[in-house]
Amino acid sequence: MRMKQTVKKSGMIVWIVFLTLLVCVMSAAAISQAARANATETQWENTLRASLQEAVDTLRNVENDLSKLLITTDEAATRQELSAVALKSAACAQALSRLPIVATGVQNTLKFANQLSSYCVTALHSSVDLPEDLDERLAAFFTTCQSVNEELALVEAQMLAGELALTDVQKQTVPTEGLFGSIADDLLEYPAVIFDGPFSDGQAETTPKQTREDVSREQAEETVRSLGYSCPYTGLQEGAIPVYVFSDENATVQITRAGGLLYQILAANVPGEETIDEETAARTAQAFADALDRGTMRNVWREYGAGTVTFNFAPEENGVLYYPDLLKIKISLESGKVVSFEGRNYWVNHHERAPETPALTADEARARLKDGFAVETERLCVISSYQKEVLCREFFGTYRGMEYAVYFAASDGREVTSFRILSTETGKMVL
Amino acid sequence: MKRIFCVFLILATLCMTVSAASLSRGSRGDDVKALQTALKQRGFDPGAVDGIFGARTREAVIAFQKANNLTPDGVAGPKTLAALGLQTQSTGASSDVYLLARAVYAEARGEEYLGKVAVAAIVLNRVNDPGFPNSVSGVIYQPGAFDSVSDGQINLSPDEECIRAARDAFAGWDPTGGCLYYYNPKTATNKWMLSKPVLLTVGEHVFCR
Repeated sequence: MRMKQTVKKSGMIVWIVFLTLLVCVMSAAAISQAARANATETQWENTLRASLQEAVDTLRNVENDLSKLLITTDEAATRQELSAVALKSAACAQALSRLPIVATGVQNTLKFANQLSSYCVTALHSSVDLPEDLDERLAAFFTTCQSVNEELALVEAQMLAGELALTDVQKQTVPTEGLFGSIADDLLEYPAVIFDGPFSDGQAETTPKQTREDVSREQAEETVRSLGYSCPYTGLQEGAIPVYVFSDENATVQITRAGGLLYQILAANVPGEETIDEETAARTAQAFADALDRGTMRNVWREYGAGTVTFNFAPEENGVLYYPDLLKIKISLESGKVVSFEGRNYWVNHHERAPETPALTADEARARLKDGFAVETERLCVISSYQKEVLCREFFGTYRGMEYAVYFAASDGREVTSFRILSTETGKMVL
Repeated sequence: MKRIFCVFLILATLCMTVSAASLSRGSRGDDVKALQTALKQRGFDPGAVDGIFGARTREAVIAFQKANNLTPDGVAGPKTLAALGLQTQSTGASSDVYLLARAVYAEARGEEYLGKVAVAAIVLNRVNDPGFPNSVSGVIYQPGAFDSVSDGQINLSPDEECIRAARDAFAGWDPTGGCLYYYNPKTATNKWMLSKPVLLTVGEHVFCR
């Protein structure tokens, strides 16, 4: 009996020791896990703080540079400062990109930094001379920059005082609306025309260069049916460019309300066995482009996709090719039919243009090419450069075994741009 | 010079290099030829070595993937290419397409094709908008921008349809008309996002500017 009790007692002791050990091990694991999570969170917080600090520092430098620009009269010095502002505000934008998107103020500050950077680049490249209203616009940017810096200083102070954790901002465990104070849309009150660089609001506005009358839903439907589509009307999409949408499980067709032009066709096109070759597809695309009744459309390049080839067309008028008005037609190599169409650039950029006579002859332009550049084709074209259309003499050719396209302004012969052309698995790619 | 030539020769013998991050149906060119040659050498028949990634090449890739315990999706991505002894040397554009396709797969794999292109277009619209980072990777990895980045789904391999959707968006197709945001109204809680006027609904997602 006593022995039985001793065994029972020792069994209990074993259990107690086991359970105690288990609790100890679990507690240790939990503490270790919490410590690891804490270390990770601290590391992430430090990364976010470093990004904010970098943004604050660079934007203070930008404000300083802008203040110097306000009194500079020498053109070379102005250009130098503009380059510095462009680089520093781009660096500021880069740092802000690493901060949580949830804070509206971050997004608006990022927008300001990107716009300032692009404006400076545009001002430097837009023409031979600096813009006439440069002073006025830089003054507007300077005022905004001062306000943004004041708000950033408050955030920085909160952060340094330990009152604000940026990880909490990301997790939205603190209110984000008031953060960054008044860095809101109304702070960025510069006119839209102040800026039209590569990342511009101007580009996002998608205002067409040609005014077009609105068409009715019925007229849009007529266009859809004439293209051979039977998909039903699903609604008017009030996006940046309002479009009537017709959609079913096979395709979605969009017709612009203004002008009633075919805007987009999109179909999933699951690839099957290819039954036609590329040249047959090219002829189908050309016929489709011609049927749109938009003048002479030239196939300028092509891109291979999954069982498809996409042909890019540009209109040609009086021997000049207009690249800004590009449209794309995708042909299925299985069915031989048009499966997709994209006409945004055409809708936005196409307008009646006054004919321009090139001052630079083809031979004069050719003489400007690098020695050893082997010309394959040459033609007159209009390209977009910093939101302006420039009539150019285009040369495709090779140099040291690499393919290039070089563009000289037909007015004064300056080199507007050049591209290196790479052959990739989906076609030619320009860099 | 001779030494450099020898090193080049050795490298060329050891492994062929392809320039794309992934090859899938519709891909063409020397990279596809290298892929077809490698498949043939390993006993998988891709048909003629013609540089066109068609149905037979896809079948051969799937067979190879099954035989090598890889995801049999018919896309010759980095893992498949590496298993075939082909090194990838991605061009900026091809790696951006692949990253975008991964984002589409993570965010919208259950959506119809239009919804996939729409999500891809949102990313590219953000790249072009001054309020967002200026690169595809910057937009996708912006903290808090996409849930699928936070929970790691961004690292899943995309399927063919998502790659096609990403390519279409890169080529300029944007069914959203310039939208910058989207959310699933069934699960979204962000008041600021929910206050934005909805311009388009595709499947489970609504799109707004």
